[in-house]
Amino acid sequence: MMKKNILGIAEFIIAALLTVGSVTFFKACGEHEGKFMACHWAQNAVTLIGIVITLLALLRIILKNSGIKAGLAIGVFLTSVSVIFIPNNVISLCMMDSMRCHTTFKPAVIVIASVLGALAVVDSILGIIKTGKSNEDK
Amino acid sequence: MKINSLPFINLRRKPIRTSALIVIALVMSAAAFGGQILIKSLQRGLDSLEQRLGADIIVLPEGAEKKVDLQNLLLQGTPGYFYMDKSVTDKLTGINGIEKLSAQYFLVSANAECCTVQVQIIGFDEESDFTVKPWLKEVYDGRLQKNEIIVGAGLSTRVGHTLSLYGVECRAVGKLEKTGTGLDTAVYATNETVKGLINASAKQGIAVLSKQSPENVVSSVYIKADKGADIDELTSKINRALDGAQAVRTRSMMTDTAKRLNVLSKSITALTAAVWVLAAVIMLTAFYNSANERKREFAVLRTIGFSRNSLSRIVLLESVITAGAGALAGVILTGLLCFEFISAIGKKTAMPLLMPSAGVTIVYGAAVIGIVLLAGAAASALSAYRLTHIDTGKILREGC
Repeated sequence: MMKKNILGIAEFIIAALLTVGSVTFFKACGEHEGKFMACHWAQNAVTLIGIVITLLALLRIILKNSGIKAGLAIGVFLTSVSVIFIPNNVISLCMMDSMRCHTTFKPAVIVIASVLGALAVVDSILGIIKTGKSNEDK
Repeated sequence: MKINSLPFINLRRKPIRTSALIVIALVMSAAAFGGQILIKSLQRGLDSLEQRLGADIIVLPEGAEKKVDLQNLLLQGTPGYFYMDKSVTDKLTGINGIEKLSAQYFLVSANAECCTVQVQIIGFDEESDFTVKPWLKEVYDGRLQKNEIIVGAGLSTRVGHTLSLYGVECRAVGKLEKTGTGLDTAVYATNETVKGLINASAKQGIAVLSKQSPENVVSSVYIKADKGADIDELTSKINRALDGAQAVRTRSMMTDTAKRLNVLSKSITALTAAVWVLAAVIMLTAFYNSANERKREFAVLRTIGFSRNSLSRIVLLESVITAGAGALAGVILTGLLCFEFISAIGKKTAMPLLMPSAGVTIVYGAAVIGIVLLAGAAASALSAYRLTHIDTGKILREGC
């Protein structure tokens, strides 16, 4: 059970790290004089997609059908790739490169989402091969 | 089953051993590649700072803290302002040995509208400038007009867009090249624009600035010495001629940074060497132990007709696969981490950091992968020799 889900568990942990980290240890710039800056909305988007990926990875662990597992892994891969483009491409960050959203939030999101995407793509390929083999056996 | 697929099957059969070997190779490559990239970034950052300043001597108001303020501005981008009487520039013109000089005026913005941090505004004289315009990445036509600015590479403001400073909409007409220094987050304007900004600040209740207009004061004077001039002597000469101001050699301003760079480089090299020695010992032990465990397996392979060469090839291929996978993953991950976190590292260490070009980075990455592959092959060579020179009959009879 554990061996079969090792990639799914790794995906779940990393997705949870992305979600929790985006509102805690690598969050974007804070509120100032009651106003949120542009990067706050990028942070919200990352957190929301992080929650979706965490749920997808959880389903990937719980469900037994290898075809569905492969499908969910593909979903994790595609959403992880989309997260990479959120900070500063889809949603603008603050004005200066030296600000927290540029030096901490954006790099952390890109690195974590890239690792998650790489794991998910391996998981997807292995899942597709496994599903193909089990279909041939039938 | 094909013989070539045997190493892959062996590796899959022992997932924990395979994963451990891959992780060791990953750590080796990450230490070597990350260390080298950081050292090169530090060297390039320091070179870039020296070139970016473009001057041999900088004249500042008197006081050690002014030098620190300028260093903070240059290295960390901490906005600062200090002033001295403009007559300093006139006195300097009369000193022999100066080829060019250009005065700058430092102003710090109130929080700009879209971000809560202050922006360093530098007023410069277009006629005499030799430190700002040579760094223009996107060149504009003509001269800077009122409320037109040149922005550093670290600001997201694009050419053609505006930036609100003290409520004045300033249009960006040029952008400078990235230098990895604190000057990347500065905004450059003519003294006329700066005067406009000071008036705007007075309207917002920051009247103190109006007493220190660029008409009366300057913050620093950049000096390019004549070719062949003794810069130390010229610095002393300027210091003797000026009251209330100090001349500092640009190189001496960077001495502290260069010393720290040296210490950091040595520490990184020592750490990399320690990681490599440790990893090499672990790798050798892992292959040695695996050779002991696999004597029977190789004895069987020998009896069914495998030659010594093909057995050596299997062992070497296994090490190349694990070392290659680990080294590739290590280089990609470290490259991504260095590229993404270079600004954060620069900010924490207060050092100018500028990543090497993509081509240089790829060459380093390839070299590191090659070295890790060689290290893996060398570590497995001993194991391959032992496994191919076993007494097959004895092993199969006695089981060890």
